[in-house]
Formats: sequence, structure tokens, C-alpha cells
Amino acid sequence: MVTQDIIARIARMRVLAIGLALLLASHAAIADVVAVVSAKSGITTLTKTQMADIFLGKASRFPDGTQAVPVDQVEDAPARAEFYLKLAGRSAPQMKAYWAKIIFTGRGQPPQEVRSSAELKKRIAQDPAAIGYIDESLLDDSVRVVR
Amino acid sequence: MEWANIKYKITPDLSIRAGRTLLPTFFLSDTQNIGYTYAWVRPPVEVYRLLPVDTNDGLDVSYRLNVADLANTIQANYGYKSTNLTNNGGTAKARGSWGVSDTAEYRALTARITYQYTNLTLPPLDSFFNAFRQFGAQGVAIANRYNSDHKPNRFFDIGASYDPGDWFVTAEWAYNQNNSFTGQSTAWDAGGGYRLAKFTPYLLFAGAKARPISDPGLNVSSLPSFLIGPAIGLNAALNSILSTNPVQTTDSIGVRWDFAKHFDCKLQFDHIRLGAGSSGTFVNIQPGFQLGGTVNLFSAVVDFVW
Repeated sequence: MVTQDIIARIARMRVLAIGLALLLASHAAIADVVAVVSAKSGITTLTKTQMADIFLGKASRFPDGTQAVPVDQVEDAPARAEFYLKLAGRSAPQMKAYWAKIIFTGRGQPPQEVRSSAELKKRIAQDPAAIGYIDESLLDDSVRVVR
Repeated sequence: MEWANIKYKITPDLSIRAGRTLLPTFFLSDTQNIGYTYAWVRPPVEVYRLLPVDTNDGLDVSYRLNVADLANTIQANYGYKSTNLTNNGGTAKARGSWGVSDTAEYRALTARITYQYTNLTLPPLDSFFNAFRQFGAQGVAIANRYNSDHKPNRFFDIGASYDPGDWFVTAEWAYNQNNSFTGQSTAWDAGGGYRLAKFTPYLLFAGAKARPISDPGLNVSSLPSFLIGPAIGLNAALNSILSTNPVQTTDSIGVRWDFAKHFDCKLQFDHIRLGAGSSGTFVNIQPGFQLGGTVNLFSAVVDFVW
């Protein structure tokens, strides 16, 4: 009786684990937003914290000492919500609150915004200091992924 | 007007501001007027009332240093401020103010430490204290101890928060010392919340202690009989002033609801216990108010930013 119960439990857990794995896989397939710099930039990798510091206005330079200019997508862009959730664990309202804090005290300004992924790629491609983020499916030769 | 300053960036990490700026005294000082930026209905009054002056007319210099994952910002200020207090409380003047504040941000952790000095003159109670001076040496001693004319005011605050995204905790401790009737105060707050999609339920605790909250006043036994009545009256008035130095604790429970883009709605219930003989942080006390009682307060607010 007890053994049967344990077997049943293990079976349930397996189903759950498979379900979870499928869920994670589909999640990754739907939206994988990646950080990008110009193909002309010397930056290839950044830690999560280094990248977060740049996008949250806490650092104005890349680790190599060159100037860093973060570029945002518009507030309603799904890529933006996804990016900040992954990067800083903050939802759109949390990010809005974060920037309200900094703007109202005159301590800084949020990154400049571009209207579309196409515009973002154009903006990033021409400026070695710029860093932005787009959906992985929209990558091309003008920009390079920073991991 | 709370802010009116021009900022000049000497380098991306070094900037100077001139004009009216907020003093970075408390952990939430920078944005205490912007409810959208924090979870509570209001910053805990026990701590945030400690210094009556929250802005500065002068200069402030800010320098940021990034070392590995640590972002450290040190800020120094110098200036003057004249503030009209609420409730027809008169004008407070802060002269020769200077302060230093250091904020360290490391991943989800933010910590801040502040020291602020000012030479503070609170609204004139001069005529009141001059009445004490008519009573000889003991009256002069009381007047000198409690008047608030050009009294050095020293303030210290340390606070921290940890906010990895889904939840947050924050705590703060502050100390204010002034050689006047406002005396010495310590205050603290601690709270945290958990973010469940659009809802953030939270708990917040705060407390304040101040001394003195009473004084024996003039010794009437040594006075001629025709002065005893006025002396008792002055003693009572002095004690009613001292009883406004807050001793209280507050337990709060609330929820923030981010119900629409750029809008939040917050509901908060506060259970406030006043210390014996203190009117706590309450102002505009009405006749019949019970010193040292308990108060339940329910608040609902909507904040928005654009």
C-alpha cells in the first residue's frame, strides 16, 4: 500500500517535471531578448550586474573605461518588459517607480528611447558607445550580441 | 517649491547642483513626495519628521565611483533654508547647514549613511521663554536650555534596503540632537513586502523615542505668593510643549495595487501607540486629546506618475 503510494507520487512528480521542462522550453522559444552593441564596438561580454548598472544609470562606462550609452525600446514594447525582468528582476511598474525616483530628484535621466527594433539596430550600428536589446530573431550583421 | 536647481556635469561621474535641492537626509528623502516610488502610503512619520527642514538653498556636489559591482555615490551639501512649517507653525530657519551622505549600491542591496549639521532657529517662542527669565537664575536656566534660537542641530541616519525583485525588506535608524525644547530623538523603521503580480502586500513597523517630554519647571516653593500662579501656568505651558516630543510606535499592514499603467492604489492600516505623557507625532492637538493613548488609522491613496 505504502509502496504503491510512493510510486504514484514519483509518477506525478515526473509528469510535473516534464511539464515544467516543456514550459521553460516554450518560454525560451517565445521571447529571447538579447543585449546588442554595434559591430564596431569592442565590447563582447558583460556580467549581468555590469549590464544592469549601465541600464539603471548606475554606471556611465563599460568595464574597459569607454563611455556607455544605453538605449531603450518604448515603454510598451514586449522586449523592454522582458529585458528588465531578466536583467534586474523588475516589472514595468517597478522600473517606472525606479526612474521616477531618479528623474524627480534630478540625479539622472532614463536611457533614450527608440520607436522600433529597426530603429534600435540603426541607432546601435552607428554608435560604438551604444548598447540596446532586441528579440534574438531580429539579429543581423550590423549589431553584435553581448552575453 | 521643493526643487529648483541647475546641474552641471563636470564628468559623467562628478556633478554639481546649485539652487534648491532636497537634503538627502533620510533613506527615502529624495522621493518622499512621490508615493509611486515606494510601497507604503507614506514614509513612516516617526523617522521622517525628525528634521523639520528637508530642502536646502545652496550647493551640492555628487561623485560616483564604480568599483567592480559596487556603485558608490558620495554627496556633500552646504547652504541655508527658511521653511514655513505646516499648521501655522511659523518659520524655521536653518543656517550654515552642511552635510555628507554616502550611498552604496551592490546588486539588490542599497545602503545609505548621512550626517547633517545645521544651526536651527525654530518659530519664535522668545516671548514665552522671556517670561521665564523674569524668575531669576532658575528661570534663565530653563529659558537657555529650551529656547530654539540659533541652536546647533546634529542629525545622523543609516538605512538599507534589499530588493531582488519579487520581495523587498528595508530598515532605517535615525538620531537627532538639538539643544532646545526638541531635545534628543531616536527613531527607526523596518518593513518588507512581497510582490504577487500587481499586488504588493506589506508590513511596516516604526518607533520614536524623545527626551525630555516633561520638566519640573520652576520651583514654586521658593517664590513669593503672588508669583506662584504665573509660575504654575508657565510650567504647564512648558510641559505641554515638551509633550509634543513624540514617543510612539506604529504597526502597519497594507497592500499596494498597481492597477493601471503609471497608477497605484494603496490601502494601509496603522495601529499607533503613544508613549505615556506624549502626544506622539500628532499635531494640531485639540482639547480633550488623550496623551499616551492608542490610535487606529486607515488610509487609502492613489498615486500616479506620467
